[in-house]
Amino acid sequence: MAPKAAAARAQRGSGATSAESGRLAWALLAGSALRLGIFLLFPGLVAHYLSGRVELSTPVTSYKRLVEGLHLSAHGVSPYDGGVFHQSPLLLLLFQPLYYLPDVFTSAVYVAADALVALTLAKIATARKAGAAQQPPVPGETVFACAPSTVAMLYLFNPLTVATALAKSTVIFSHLSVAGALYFGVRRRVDLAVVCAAIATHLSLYPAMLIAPLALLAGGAQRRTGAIVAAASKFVAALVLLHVLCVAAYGAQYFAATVDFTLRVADLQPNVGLFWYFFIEIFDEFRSFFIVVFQLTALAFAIPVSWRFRQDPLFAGTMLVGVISALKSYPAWGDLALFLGLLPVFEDLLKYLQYTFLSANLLLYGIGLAPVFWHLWIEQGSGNANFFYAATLVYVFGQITLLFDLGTAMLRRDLDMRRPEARAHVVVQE
Amino acid sequence: MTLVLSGQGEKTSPLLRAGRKYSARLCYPLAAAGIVWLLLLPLSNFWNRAYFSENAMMPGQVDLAFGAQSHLDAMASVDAALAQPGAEPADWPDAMARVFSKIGLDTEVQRIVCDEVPGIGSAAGANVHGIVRAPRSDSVEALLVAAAWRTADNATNVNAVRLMAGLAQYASEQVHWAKDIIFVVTDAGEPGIEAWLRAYHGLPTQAPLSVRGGIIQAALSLELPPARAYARMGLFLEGKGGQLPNLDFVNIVQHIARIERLPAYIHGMEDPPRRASLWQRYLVSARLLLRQMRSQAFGSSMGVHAPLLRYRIDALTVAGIPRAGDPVAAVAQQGLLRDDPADMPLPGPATVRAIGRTVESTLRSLNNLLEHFHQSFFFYILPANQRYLSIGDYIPAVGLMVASLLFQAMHLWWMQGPDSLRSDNPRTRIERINTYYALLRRTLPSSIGIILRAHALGLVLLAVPILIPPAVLTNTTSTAYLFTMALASVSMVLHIADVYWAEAAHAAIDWRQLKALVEMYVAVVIASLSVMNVSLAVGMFVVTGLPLILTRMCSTDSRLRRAIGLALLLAASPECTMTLGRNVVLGLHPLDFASSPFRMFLGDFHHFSSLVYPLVCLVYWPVNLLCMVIVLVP
Repeated sequence: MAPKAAAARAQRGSGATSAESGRLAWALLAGSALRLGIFLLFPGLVAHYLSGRVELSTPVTSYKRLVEGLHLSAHGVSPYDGGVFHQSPLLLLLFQPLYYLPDVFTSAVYVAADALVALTLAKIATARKAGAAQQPPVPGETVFACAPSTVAMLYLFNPLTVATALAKSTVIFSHLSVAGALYFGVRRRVDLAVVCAAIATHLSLYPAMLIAPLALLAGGAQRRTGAIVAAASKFVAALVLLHVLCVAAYGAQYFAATVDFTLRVADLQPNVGLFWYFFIEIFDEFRSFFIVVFQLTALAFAIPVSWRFRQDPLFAGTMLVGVISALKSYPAWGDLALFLGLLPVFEDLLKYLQYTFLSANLLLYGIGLAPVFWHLWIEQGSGNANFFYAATLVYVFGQITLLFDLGTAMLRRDLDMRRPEARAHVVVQE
Repeated sequence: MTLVLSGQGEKTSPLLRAGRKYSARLCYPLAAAGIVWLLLLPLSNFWNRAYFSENAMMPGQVDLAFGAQSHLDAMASVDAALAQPGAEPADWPDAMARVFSKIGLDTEVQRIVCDEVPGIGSAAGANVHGIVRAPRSDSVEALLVAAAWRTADNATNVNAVRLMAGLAQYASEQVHWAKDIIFVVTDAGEPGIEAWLRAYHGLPTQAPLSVRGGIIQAALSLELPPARAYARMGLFLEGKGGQLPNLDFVNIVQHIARIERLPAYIHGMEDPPRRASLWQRYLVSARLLLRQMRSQAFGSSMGVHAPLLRYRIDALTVAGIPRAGDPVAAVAQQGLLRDDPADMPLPGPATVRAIGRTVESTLRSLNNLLEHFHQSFFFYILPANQRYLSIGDYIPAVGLMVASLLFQAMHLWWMQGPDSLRSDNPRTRIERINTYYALLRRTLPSSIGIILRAHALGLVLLAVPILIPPAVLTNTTSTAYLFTMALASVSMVLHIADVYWAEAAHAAIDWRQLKALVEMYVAVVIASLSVMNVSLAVGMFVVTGLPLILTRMCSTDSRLRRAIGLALLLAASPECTMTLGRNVVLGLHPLDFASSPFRMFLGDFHHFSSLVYPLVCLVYWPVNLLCMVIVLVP
């Protein structure tokens, strides 16, 4: 629903461009000022309340654990000893200098990262708009396109994004790499896109699913297989390079503590995903089988989604971001924030959405009930795990409803454009 | 899913078409059904008989010892210590500490100095506690017996303090304890216990405690106002955030009290006589339920057990209720007694013995707890003594209320924009979805902007009393503040309406959309509240949901109709309900300092992070304003 709130009217003409970039700058400044203001005015809220919330930070993105890792490595101990720290060594490299500086610099890095994500999304929207202008619209339709500044604003002022940045969840850096990869893909810079994807994969594993759409996006419509093979080999090379770098810096231990940890779902701390409850309950002998099943459920989407939407790889990438957010092993609200941030880029599709009332309500209940049920279960002791998991199910169901709705919208619009004679027909999927 | 739902554009499923056809009218019967469901709860047909879930408790199956001469001597020693020559009333903590130490308890005095909002509940005072160490275990768990120096009715509670000394003596003689027994006396009421709990649990505080025991598993608070004898006892359960103790605990106390021939009734309300008519039974039960719901919603229950529940301690207050015409109670009520304990005769020996044995037996039973209470219900309401209604019996009522909001929201969402949008003709599909989306793009920002503005005002309302120096917030200034905020909010409403009337030609806003959005939001709030504090959820529905559903029920073509709508909404506004409903809210909380509910909520928010104050500021107030906007816009 949020994208529809875009107030800015479509800008036309060259004079409007500078006004638009001014507005974008204001949006970025306002978003950064909001975050910095809260960081400075309410440090207690951030440190004691938000950063500990399981809905916002997971074992693989928690800032507290990152600080622990930094502390260990600053004292000459391997940060991966002790089983607390499960984040990529790249984050350690980034935060190591900040560890010796006052807190405000760390906050500034988070704020800057969030603003950069917003800027990248805005740039993607600009590129998309330019690309869409070359395509003929559906006969009889009004063309809507969200102004880039609005895209940035909708991302920056989404409460989920704000909360994620305030909780200092490191998922933001993964988002930054994903958005960067998509941006360089749109700009046809294959190498940079692949490097961004490799960094994103190194940070949170699941963005590896995006490699095929990125290859198609950057490689153009011709020679699809060749483009995918070339990009995939570069991707693997970049990953190996990163791996070697990290092994050199922090030892081979890191691999088991990050990638393996994510794949095996070793920490069953509750989160807003589907894994933890199931694997708390399951007997040990079935564990490995169901881990394969659950991880495949998430990862296997890469193939059909990339294939079905090969005409529009950016859309395929967005769908996969949504799939990752719903089905990954340690999801948080921040993952949904990136997906919602990408939605206004496809404003021509939003009018085709049919279940907005349902999915908006489901997401609202999923997000509203989770803290309440957490309070009843953990703080008050009168509820139990089933309460919180019920809220999680509602939340994931809302995301999946939105995803399917979006996919259907894309297919229907595609049909409207390619087969104008079918426009008056009813399409029913049963 | 396509069978059930299908939106703008595609072919509508028959189920959804029927739903859309009737949803406009369905929301009123649903809301009515929710209310009727609540009204049916006092009928005994729906009740379940209380039972013990936790078999290990074995209530009332031990030999009782309380009442021996040593216990009575310990009780008398309180009077002796307090009446020492030259002793000031303010010296009571040291006197009490001497009494506890003499009995052999680990004792500590905690002097708390709170510079909190004066008048709202100043908490300067002292807590004294003594711990009987468990001879049979290693002090990892504890039970708590608490008493405030004054009862919730502001009578002296010296009887309870005396009884505690006797119980402490008894407990130190007893060898069966597997848990520490902690006795706490406070003279600062609920904030005092709260300060003590903060210190006990090691939270940051100005007055830390050094004498501590294990995790407190359960707690009893005693309130024994001056009287010669008690007719019965009252059990008060509701915590500050609407939490309730486990139902097993309530059952145990009721069971034991019945054995000791001094029955303990929920809120002190007796069951109707056996021959009473159905209507009389209904009325008695309805009164009991209403009292419970009021206490639960506003956290205004009697007794110092209320803060304990927030710390995951099952707790309740046992209060003695004097017989009608009791000479001592009558004199005490007229305020003729001084606070001097010498003036406060103990209740008769049979009464003391019965209460002491009830507490003793309860402690022995709690001593059997193997782990934290978990077997029985945490979410219940009690329609009569020894009967309960579990969450499954009452939550459908809230479900119906939420459903009525959602149905109306769905209908209004569907009805926004011109009629041509709702045709089913596939030929006009492209045109329809484009018009529909253009409408959303034009109107959604203004709707969301209005909602945000109303909430920004609520945020100011919430923040200002927290930020300003507490000394400024007297009764007069808080009334003036509320009045100013009311003026500001109503003028904001009028301004918004004015702006959109001026732009009426652009159709920049659709009231249906605005109302649908507000309804979705209120529904989420009520649904989330209902699992935490059902009484508060019902209260929120009555003050925000119902007016919202009824807002703009019929057309508002004429100015007169708009004015009437506005007047009705003003009558349902927080300013109005909090002024007129003062007695309802404060009924069980006759503390003279909290003369305005707003300040009471503020104080509870301050001390106990109670939810009522933020809800009034961030939901009730803004939604009321939004209703006014809905009535006034074109």
